[in-house]
Amino acid sequence: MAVNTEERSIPHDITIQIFSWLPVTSLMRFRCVSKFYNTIVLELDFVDLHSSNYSKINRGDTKLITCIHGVWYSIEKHDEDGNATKFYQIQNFDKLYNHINIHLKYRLCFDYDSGLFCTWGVQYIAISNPSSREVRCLPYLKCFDVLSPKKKKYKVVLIIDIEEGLSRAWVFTLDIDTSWREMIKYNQHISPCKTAICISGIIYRFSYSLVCIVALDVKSESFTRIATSIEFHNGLCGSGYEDYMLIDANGKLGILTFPPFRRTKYINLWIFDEEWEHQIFQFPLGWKHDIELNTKKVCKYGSEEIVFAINMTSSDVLVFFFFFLSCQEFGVIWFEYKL
Amino acid sequence: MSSSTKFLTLKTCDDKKFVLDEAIAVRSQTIKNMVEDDCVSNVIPLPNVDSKTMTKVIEYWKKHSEEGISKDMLMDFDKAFVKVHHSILHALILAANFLNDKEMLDMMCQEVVDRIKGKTPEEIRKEFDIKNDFTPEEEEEIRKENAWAFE
Repeated sequence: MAVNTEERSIPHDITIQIFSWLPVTSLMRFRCVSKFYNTIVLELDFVDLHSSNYSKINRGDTKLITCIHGVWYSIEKHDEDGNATKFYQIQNFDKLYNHINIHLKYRLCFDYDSGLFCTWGVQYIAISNPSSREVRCLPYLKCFDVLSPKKKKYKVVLIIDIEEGLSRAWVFTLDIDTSWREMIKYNQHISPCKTAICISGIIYRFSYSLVCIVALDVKSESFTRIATSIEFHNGLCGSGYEDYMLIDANGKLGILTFPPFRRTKYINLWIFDEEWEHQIFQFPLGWKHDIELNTKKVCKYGSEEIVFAINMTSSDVLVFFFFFLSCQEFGVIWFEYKL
Repeated sequence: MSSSTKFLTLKTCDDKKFVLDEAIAVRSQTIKNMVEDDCVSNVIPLPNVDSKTMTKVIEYWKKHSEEGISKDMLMDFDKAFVKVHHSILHALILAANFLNDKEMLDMMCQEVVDRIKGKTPEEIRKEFDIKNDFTPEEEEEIRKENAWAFE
């Protein structure tokens, strides 16, 4: 860049804004730029700004990852007519698994946020960046049962069910904490069998009784409660739904429920925006196969679309359905895997 | 406000004048505030913007004010609009910042993000005119710590 003498440099506040839109990998690399950028990247206010800006800008940037016979694949979405999709193997996941007791595989879970994976077993929690080979294991926490660590930006929150839905929570801040510290004032009754969803730095979980959702603000480490919709609650009591889950519906809190029929024909969606708004959507008409949907088949949710993954076991085909929240339409991607 | 002139004259730092429909010019929050505060005489001076940059800004404003223009057309326009030399992009960011047009500023910043995200720290220093205040040892330390981000 030839620096014109008349050219003024870009003001600090704009540079910071630009930085807040960068992926985490770039940010970490740019820590070497100067002392100022080294510190700002870890500054809580910046982390906050980044977490809201980056996700806003990167809506719709869906990454699909699947595990077939123990091998992980990343699927690129660039579809020509939705049929052909590129995919490649993620080698580093094997390394990740080596860090974790493999015999506990059945309990192994993982979650994905802001370009980083968080995976956990009964005794270990590890964070991995799939675009590099870095795997970082968090220190061992003497604990009872890991139910849902939820990674948000540089903080990892671990919520553990003790008994009867009474939970305790620990937090680990990357690059700052050297051990886990327990969050005080955390005595929420949380539904242990439902995972959390993290939207704009707030982690939501169903309460034990399902009459409300407990919201944890990760930054301030404070809690609030949101009552669930009466319709939703009535549906549960009248065994109207088979399965239900929290989702990120275009930056808003949403509840997805699936009817208890073998062939899923429609799905309920509630979106919280001061009040609960109820939507019902149907599976793509003209889809000839029987589909039985439940929460296990929602592989990625968030941003502008909800993704359902269905394995057509007979044909080595994995089908991804995208439900676009804004236009209420479905898109389909076929992923054929040859072993 | 409606009693004021329908057209505004903007004067850039190199003394070029631009006559522009007020409805278009108020895309700039800075100009809008001036108009609302009634402190607009005949000519609005823009001491921080040169005529070459202002021509681009007005091109953008006019396109985005066109009636009946489709979203797709605007997207194509925006895509082509940001494909400019670094120095022009730089000038447009400063202009959008001064004129306080958030939409335009965001678009230009996004372009910068796309251009820099794969770059090295050295290139970033150049890009933003940042002085490296680390000792080589300190820099090496941070580099090591974040080695994964360099691959």
